[in-house]
Amino acid sequence: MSADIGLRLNPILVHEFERQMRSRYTHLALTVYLVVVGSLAVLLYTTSFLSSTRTVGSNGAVGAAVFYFLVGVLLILTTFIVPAIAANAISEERQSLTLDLLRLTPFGGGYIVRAKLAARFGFAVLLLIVMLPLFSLAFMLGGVELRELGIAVGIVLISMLTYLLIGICVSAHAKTTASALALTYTIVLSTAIGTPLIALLNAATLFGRLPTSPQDISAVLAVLLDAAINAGLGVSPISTTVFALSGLASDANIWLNVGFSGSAVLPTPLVFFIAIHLISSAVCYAGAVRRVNAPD
Amino acid sequence: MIEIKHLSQQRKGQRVLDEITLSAPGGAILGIVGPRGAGKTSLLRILATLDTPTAGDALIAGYSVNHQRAQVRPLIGYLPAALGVYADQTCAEYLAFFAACYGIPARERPALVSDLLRLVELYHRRDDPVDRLSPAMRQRLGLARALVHDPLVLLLDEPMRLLDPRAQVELRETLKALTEMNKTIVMTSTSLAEVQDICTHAAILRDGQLVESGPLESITPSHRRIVIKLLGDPQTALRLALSVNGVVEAQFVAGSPLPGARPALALLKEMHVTFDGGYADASALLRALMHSGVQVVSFQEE
Repeated sequence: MSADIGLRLNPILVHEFERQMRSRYTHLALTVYLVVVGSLAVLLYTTSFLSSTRTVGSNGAVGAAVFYFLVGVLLILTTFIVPAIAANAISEERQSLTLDLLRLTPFGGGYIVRAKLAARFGFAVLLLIVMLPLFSLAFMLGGVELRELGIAVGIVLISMLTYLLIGICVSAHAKTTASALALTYTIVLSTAIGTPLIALLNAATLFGRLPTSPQDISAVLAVLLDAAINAGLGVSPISTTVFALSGLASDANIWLNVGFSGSAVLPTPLVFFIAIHLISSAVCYAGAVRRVNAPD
Repeated sequence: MIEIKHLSQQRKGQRVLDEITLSAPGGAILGIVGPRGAGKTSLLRILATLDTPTAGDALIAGYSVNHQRAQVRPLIGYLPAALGVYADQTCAEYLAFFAACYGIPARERPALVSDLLRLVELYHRRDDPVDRLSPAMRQRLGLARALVHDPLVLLLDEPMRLLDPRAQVELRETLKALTEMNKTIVMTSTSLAEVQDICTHAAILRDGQLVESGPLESITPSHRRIVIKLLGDPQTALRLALSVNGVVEAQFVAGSPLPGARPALALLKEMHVTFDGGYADASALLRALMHSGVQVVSFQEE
């Protein structure tokens, strides 16, 4: 019965799941992860609860603090852990000389890449799911809306997909897992942390009325620069989440807003984030499939 | 069954294969023989659709390995020189995994896996992790994997390389049994002697060029010449040579002084032996010469 389901599910995917779940490190990593995150959340809750004045709505502030902490953990997880679980996807098969054997089966490169992606996405989602009880703590205390959770989880899921596909694409092109890991981290960290920092620096320099600010920027150029800054912020799930959640907290429109220059209404970083990440995912998927299918 | 037409491959500006043209009928065992770097593995990888030629084409059962990969792949079973395994799987799981990949229904897989493990004599190791197998056992497991989808053509890259003599004999028997099932086998080797017992056809490659190809009888000369350079009594050597199985004729040619040696002691004699025996006989000749006290300086087939 299970084997029949396996065949329908894609045998490579089934094998990937078996491999993950047979490893004692998986269970150890999940346990340690839950213990650390849970302990920090309880510590945060206790500290916030004890330090808050006993007024109406103080529980909400504690709930919001726990929620933002958990979202932060998820973003760190996405940025630092997800690339590591993706970068060995294809290079490991190549190093263990099994990639050729898989390529000779009737499955195409797309099938192999989808199986690798699904197994790793499943594991990443598992890391997200095990945090849901902690998120329920934040909801229990109030101060958090469901749409805030929806936006945060949505951003995390999209960025997980993108980072996994970047890792798999790099892994398909790399000769060794070590080089795939190094290149994946370089791409992910430079886009998740470097790009928004550059965007914010530009925003501050151009529109922040700093001593170096050019005062004679034309309106069209201002709009273009605004769009570029929003796109730069939208490259990173961290800056996108910060802007989206702060927009929700201030009841602002999370899809369109007035740019840094104040010259025009533009798509927010969230819109750019969705577009950039989905396009990047598609490009990385195509690149990985093409490489796996290509003869050596 | 297999037709290779003017196949060439270049890699990094270097010609790996040069205008290879050869064929093998259905049910044949084609041995591709040549020294390391001759292009045997490159040719096999092209046949296995894992590599592309820069010119020419090869057909397997009428399908182009270059343009009809999807049609060719189900027809071939490929055993690489170094077998890739998943360390987390047992032998049975490894074969079941590839059976699933080839779309064998789940209810048929246990029997298929057992049959294949019995065929390669690994049934007793079915529950052992694959990474605990010896290289020779891995080679046999690889053969079982290559057979998992019952391919018409088997492409085996140096299948004898890691096997001990007994395992080589067993593999030869297995391959013969497979040809009786009308499978066509292409195997590579560095030695013609290694494959001449089982191959029906052979192709000799050197530096990417096809030196000779065709049915084995046309490749293997009926008489070979062994040139032996020795020191010592030539008559003893001659008498011994003629007493060994497979030796048709033996004669001495003019000796030449050994470079750097004193002329009185160092007359190197050269004996030419015409030979139609196997390599075991040649080995027996060498042993006999050495045991008789003749100092063999070199022993070479021409």
